[in-house]
Amino acid sequence: MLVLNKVTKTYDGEKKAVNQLSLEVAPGEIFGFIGPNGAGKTTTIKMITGLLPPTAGQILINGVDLATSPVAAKRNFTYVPDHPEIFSAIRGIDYLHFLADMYDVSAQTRRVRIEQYTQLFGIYDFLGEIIQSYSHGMKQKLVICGALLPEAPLFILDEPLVGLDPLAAKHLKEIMGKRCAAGGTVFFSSHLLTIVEQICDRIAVINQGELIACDRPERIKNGSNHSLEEIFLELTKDA
Amino acid sequence: MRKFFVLVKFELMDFFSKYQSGSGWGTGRRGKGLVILTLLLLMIPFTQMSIGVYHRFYGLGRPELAVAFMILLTFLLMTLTAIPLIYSLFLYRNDFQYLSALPIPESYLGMAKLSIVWLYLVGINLVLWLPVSILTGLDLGWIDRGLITGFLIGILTPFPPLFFSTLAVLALTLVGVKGRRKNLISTFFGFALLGLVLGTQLFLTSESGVGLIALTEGWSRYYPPTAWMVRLISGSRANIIPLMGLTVGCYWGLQTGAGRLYRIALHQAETNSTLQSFSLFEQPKSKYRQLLRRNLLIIGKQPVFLMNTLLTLVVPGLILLAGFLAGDFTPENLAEGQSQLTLVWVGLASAPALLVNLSVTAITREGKAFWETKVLPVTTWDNLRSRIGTTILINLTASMVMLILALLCFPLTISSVISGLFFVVMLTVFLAHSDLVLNIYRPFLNWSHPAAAIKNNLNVILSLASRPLLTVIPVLTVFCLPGASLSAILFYSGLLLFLLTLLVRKFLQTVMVEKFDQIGG
Ligand SMILES: Nc1ncnc2c1ncn2[C@@H]1O[C@H](COP(=O)(O)OP(=O)(O)OP(=O)(O)O)[C@@H](O)[C@H]1O
Ligand SMILES: [Mg+2]
Repeated sequence: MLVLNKVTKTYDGEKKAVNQLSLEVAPGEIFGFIGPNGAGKTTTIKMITGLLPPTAGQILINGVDLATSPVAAKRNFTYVPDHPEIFSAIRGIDYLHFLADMYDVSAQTRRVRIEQYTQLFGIYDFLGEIIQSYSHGMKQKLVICGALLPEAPLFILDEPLVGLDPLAAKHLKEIMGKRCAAGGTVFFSSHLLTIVEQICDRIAVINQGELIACDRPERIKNGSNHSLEEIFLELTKDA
Repeated sequence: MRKFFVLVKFELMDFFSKYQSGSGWGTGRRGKGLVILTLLLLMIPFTQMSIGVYHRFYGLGRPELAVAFMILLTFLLMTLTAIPLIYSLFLYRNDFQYLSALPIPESYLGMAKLSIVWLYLVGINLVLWLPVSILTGLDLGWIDRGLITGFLIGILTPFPPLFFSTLAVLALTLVGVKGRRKNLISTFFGFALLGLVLGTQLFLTSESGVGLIALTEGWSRYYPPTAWMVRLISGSRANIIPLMGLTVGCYWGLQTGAGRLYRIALHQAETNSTLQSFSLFEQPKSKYRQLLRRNLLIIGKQPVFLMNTLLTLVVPGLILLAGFLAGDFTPENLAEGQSQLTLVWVGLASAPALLVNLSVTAITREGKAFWETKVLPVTTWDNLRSRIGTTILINLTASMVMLILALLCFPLTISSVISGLFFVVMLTVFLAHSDLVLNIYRPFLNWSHPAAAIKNNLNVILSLASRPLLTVIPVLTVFCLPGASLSAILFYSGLLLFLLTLLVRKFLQTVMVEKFDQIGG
């Protein structure tokens, strides 16, 4: 579903934020992306979503090359960034209709999905209000609902659980699970290792721009009794 | 009563701090200093205007009319200022809910807010009115009375406009204009004020002065206090009595009005907690239309962007209209003959494209929300195209308004309208493309105050500074076609611009598209 092939990103000509990163995410997987601050997670996600062009390497989404057919590739995913900075002088409902039009969601379908997702995250009643009046968490929920709306095959999230209340976090985890059960794929970065361990089919650990481990959680732990946290600290120690 | 003054002081501090944070200069000491400095600087042109009024009427041999004119002008200015102010203090700020919990008589709450408006009006009034009053006093040989009587008049004359404005705001609430319309109200009255000031300037500078005298005399009849004030300044003290009577009447009316407004505001605050309804059903729109709409809304819904755009768009038109109404701009004294008239209207209609370089901030305006359209499944060219389209749409609308104004004011021939229109459209289209190149080269997305995105921005300055280069185009046309008529020159210049547009468009579609993709999210 998602293939990264020796992807490299260099900022300002010298600093390698991501170095020769290769990954493969299979359809139906929940894939966790972890690493210390500044490891290059956000940079990688920005390259996958087309926000930043890679310095070198290739990105395939559902078999489509992002560099050569960006529109076809972008139809296959939606993205929730690590900050909910959106154009906020419009109403929540306008934001959702805008996205629905952009992903060709029919009038009938969007009606059902908007209601379903916003009810679930408890922002349905506020859709008639200007987004500026939302709290940080409400904005985040709106962005998540917007990204769920097209039900694209790949769902990409950058630290989605930060700032959500426990109930919303629970719903999001459940939705990720449901998405995958229905054949969709989820790719997300996080610092919450217990959650990553609990819900992910596979995990990639990245440090200083390089992939240092990529496997099922139990295999990364390699039968040891240590928690993923301890393994993580061990893996990323000699930085 | 002491509680009342505490309340007024509180409101005043609140008002001042809102003003300061709205100015974008921060909340520190320095910000405060800058705000005060700006206010002081703002006084200068008004004082000058006031002195100008006196000299104008003195020059016309009717110095007493300067007093009448100033009373009328300040009445209008104060009314137009007070309406949006009362509106925002009562219906937008909405601090009544917690103020109403304080142990203060209800009647104080509304009056305290109106006191702020009154103080504000007194400030404007004194700046405008005192110079005329003092000069008239000097003229009559008693500076002290010009000053003292002038001051007394200066603090009393705000009462009637305050009363009228309160009534106007009450009327607005009756027709359903509630707190959410603040931007609309302040924009509307902002323009009305601007129109008034520009119109006044034009009237004052108009040549004959006959219209000015007739107007002042005519309007004085509609507003009797004008006559009392003229007599008061020239020494007839008895005229203080009707003025006092009027003030007391207004004060009484204001108390009633403030009470009503207070109750409306409180009611609004309560009903506001009910959420707005919305519709889950919407006909799908095309992607390009949605992108265009988004770009238009970014301008339309951000007050700083909207005001900046409208002001630059409308000022040339307002000058023309006001000048025409004042009888100053007539086809005869503006130009000798059809070709100069054509140049005037083409200049006016080109002004939006030349002055309002919307494309140069088309990316910058999005700020931190820029990432949104970049992850969408639309081509980069569609993304850019929608930004160009937005600029063209806004600028051409303004140009059309200018054309209609010009057609109303001057007799233009069909051929000059057609060739001029072709030129204006091509110029607009060309600049909408070329300015965008600049913004792609220098995107600037990390602003926190919207004013930073469109003012003090090197891109804007660069784009404006490059405008004189455009003269190359008509000069080249004239050089290639010596002796051609103006219509022909306009037409061929337009054609040249069209060819240039094709070039820039190709450049945008190939090189700039890649450059745009590099702009980080
Ligand atoms: N726009 C930029 N210009 C230059 N360097 C950058 C830029 N953005 C990120 N970097 C650098 O690239 C590296 C990777 O940053 P990135 O944001 O991808 O980390 P991250 O893994 O998402 O970290 P965090 O857990 O804090 O979100 C960091 O060293 C950072 O300083
Ligand atoms: Mg990050």
